[in-house]
Amino acid sequence: MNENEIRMLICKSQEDGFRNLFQEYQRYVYTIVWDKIKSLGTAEDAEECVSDIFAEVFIHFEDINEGSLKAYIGTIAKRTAIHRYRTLSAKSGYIADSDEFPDIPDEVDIQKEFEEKEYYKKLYQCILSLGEPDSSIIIQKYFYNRKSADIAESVGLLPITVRVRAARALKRLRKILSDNPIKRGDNL
Amino acid sequence: MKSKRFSLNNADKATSEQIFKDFPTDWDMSKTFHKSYKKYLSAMKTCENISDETAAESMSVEVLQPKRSIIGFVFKIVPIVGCTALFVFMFKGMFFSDNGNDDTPDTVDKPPVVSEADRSNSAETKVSASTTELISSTTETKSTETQTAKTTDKKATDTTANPTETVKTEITAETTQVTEPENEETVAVTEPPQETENNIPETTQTVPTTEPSLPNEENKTVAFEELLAMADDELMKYCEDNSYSFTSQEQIRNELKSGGKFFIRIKPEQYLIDGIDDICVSENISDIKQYNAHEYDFDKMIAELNLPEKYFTVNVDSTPFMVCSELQFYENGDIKPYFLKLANLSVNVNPEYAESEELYRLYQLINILPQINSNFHSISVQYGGR
Repeated sequence: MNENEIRMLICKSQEDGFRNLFQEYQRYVYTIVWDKIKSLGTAEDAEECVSDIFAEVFIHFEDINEGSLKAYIGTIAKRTAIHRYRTLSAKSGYIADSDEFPDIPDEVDIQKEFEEKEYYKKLYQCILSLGEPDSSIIIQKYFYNRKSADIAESVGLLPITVRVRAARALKRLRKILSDNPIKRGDNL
Repeated sequence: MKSKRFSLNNADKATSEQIFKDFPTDWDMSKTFHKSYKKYLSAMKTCENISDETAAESMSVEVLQPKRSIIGFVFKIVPIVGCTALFVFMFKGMFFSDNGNDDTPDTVDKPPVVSEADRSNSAETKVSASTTELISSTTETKSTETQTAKTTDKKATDTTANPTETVKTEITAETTQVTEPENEETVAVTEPPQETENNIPETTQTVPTTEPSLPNEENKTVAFEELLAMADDELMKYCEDNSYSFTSQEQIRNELKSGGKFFIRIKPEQYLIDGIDDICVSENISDIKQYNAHEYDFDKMIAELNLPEKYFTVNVDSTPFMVCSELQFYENGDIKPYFLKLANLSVNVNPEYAESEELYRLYQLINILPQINSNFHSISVQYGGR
């Protein structure tokens, strides 16, 4: 559904229109938010943030120029996510490292950075090698921090099955990693 | 705050992007949509209340406008006076006709005596004459006092002819007179008596009211012991229903394992001792004093945290305040930081519950119960130091 269709739908029925707008952009917004707050926030924080962003978009919808809806949503999402990140870091007393604030110059350990990248790249490949639905479960659980009950809904399994599968998948992953050791892989 | 277990949250940018691409976040977020839409509606409701209020103000001005003209007022009031007089006379006539016998009390004037023949003749004709005259006099709206006097005089005599019939016809005549064609007249009838009353309720109705939210009332009814006994799911639902943030036992366990200490941050303005002023929000951090705890009623603050002494110890540290910076986003895209003074109260579960099964639940409640307090700002978990 494109922007014009959404606008027309909102004219007909506001709630339906906003629902469609939400469905159309929820991925985009959630990705922006989670990318910013994932190191500190929980899935609930992200959802709260997403709901704030869309409420803001709905309120100012009439003021958004035609053709700039996505850009507007993106800007609001970034700002709100940064604000949420700051609030979370203030709450936890966490001091952000240079990765999260790239504008702040710092000594960069190129070798360490490279190793990190390689490590996560290989780790991700190992997770993918687990196959579905295990890789989805692992990603949703350990990347998106979602609860087993929520994961169960999205993969169409029972929560208990999700928990069991996650535990087994982790075991398998551990085995894969021990067979093909990668640096910095000792924290599993 | 985060678990030290296996986590992909700190994955490098390229991997994160790849994950976002391969595993998009397209699960069902209808709950989140409802939250957004609810927020939107409540924001709109506030706006509508404000616009209704202004509309009511402008309406009341319009209603007041004609009353400023004396001529208009006279034109409106005269027919009403006429009608009222007519009504009185009509009922008087009815009264006379009902009691037009020997039993009529002395205090009431006797009606004019009319012969039997007259009665039979005048029964319908006179009545219709009087009613048409009535209609004409009133519908023209220019009914002067003399005209109404005439008609009422006539009626006074005519009513004696056939009491029941005249009463009926005259009442219908009068009702048509009031409600029939002239909107002006109906306005005239309805407006003046409400001159003062009409405006007041309209404005009072549109004043935005802050309805007490149901969940907060529910909170008061949920006893601490009940919260303590709730299953985790129930507690989570309770938090959802009341829009409180919920902390899972797993999170609490990790925080405690990492040596986290719980601090409740409260906006202190409401607890200033009477007669003392203090700056609690400012764009300039140097405006905010951090060592004036003696100017605040910390006992009241602790009491309002809703944390029973049996289970919790709340302490005011040597540095009872902290300053937190927040960002203000303006519609034009500007962002400005401002500083907020917050009371920082450390909370611990009493040591006797350290081995108890309820320990994590008690820590969960540290995160939930203070949220009932309207001055609550946030909970922080601090590691090491302090």
